Amino acid sequence: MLSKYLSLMRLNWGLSLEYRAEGFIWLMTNMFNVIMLLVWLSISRAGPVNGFSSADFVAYYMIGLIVRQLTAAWSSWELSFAISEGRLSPQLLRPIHPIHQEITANWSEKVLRMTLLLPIVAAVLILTPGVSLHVTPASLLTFAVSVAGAWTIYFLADYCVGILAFWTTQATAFSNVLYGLKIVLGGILAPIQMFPPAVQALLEWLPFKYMLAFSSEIALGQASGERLLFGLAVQWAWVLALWLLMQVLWRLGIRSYGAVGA
Amino acid sequence: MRYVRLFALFLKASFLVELEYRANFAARAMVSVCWAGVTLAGAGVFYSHTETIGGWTFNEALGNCLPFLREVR
Repeated sequence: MLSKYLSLMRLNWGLSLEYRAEGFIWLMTNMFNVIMLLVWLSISRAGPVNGFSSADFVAYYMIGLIVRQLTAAWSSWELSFAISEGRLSPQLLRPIHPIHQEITANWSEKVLRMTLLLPIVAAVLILTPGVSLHVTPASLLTFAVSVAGAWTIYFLADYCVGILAFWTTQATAFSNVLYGLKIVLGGILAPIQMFPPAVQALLEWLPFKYMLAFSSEIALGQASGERLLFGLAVQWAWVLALWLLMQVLWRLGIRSYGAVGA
Repeated sequence: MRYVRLFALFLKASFLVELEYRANFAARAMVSVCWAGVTLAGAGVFYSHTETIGGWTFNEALGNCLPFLREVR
């Protein structure tokens, strides 16, 4: 399996480098994070908002940019078109599940985008006065675990959406639904702490917060102790649930595969 | 005139392709409607923490895109 992954990684890294301008343009679509940051900076000019100072908003949205890039997934588009155009057929003949092709394509694109994004974010965080991040060996480790969980949740949810194309032939609009939910409820429109308490309580149990905001909260030192453990438990429960869902959907869906070529 | 006819033809073809995938079309229509709701809800969240943003009140911010909602608050 490792050697298969290594050769898939090499292949997809080559593809990412080949279309490197595309990676840069996709990075620009994250401007939404910056616009939301500017809105919250304008609101917090008069004083802290629900415990967030202006510097906290800068830190939240900058770390959020990194988390959003690390956890982005678009395999539902690839899978949807592969199913509707019939390009999935040769992939099914390979001795490896088609999901691994998507996983390695995702990872190699991440490596490329991080080399562009990390210097920008680091410069903003260093140049903004009053930014305080919670950096200890334990917090770095939990941050890494939470980002891995966030990536897996969004990737699997997105892949499940793509599998729906086995029945509906085209599933790209469904992935817009998932993406919209992540933007609005995942902590990009506003940090979770800005929502009314009832909404916050509900979001504790839904997967969207664990696709993004949870990791930023760890980096800002806002999730610790019991809250942190509870969050990690809910997050990895969603990872397990979505993995099972993906397995079931795939097995049911593959029976309906018709390679319509349209 | 020829181009107008061609344009109409392409428009019709694209629309039929969209309609062909019914569930996808329904989801796309739903997303479009929901984004309008998100815009309102987002403004609601912003203005629950402040009276004005850049000198604009909630009513002014909404009134500019949705005149009929001018008196919401």
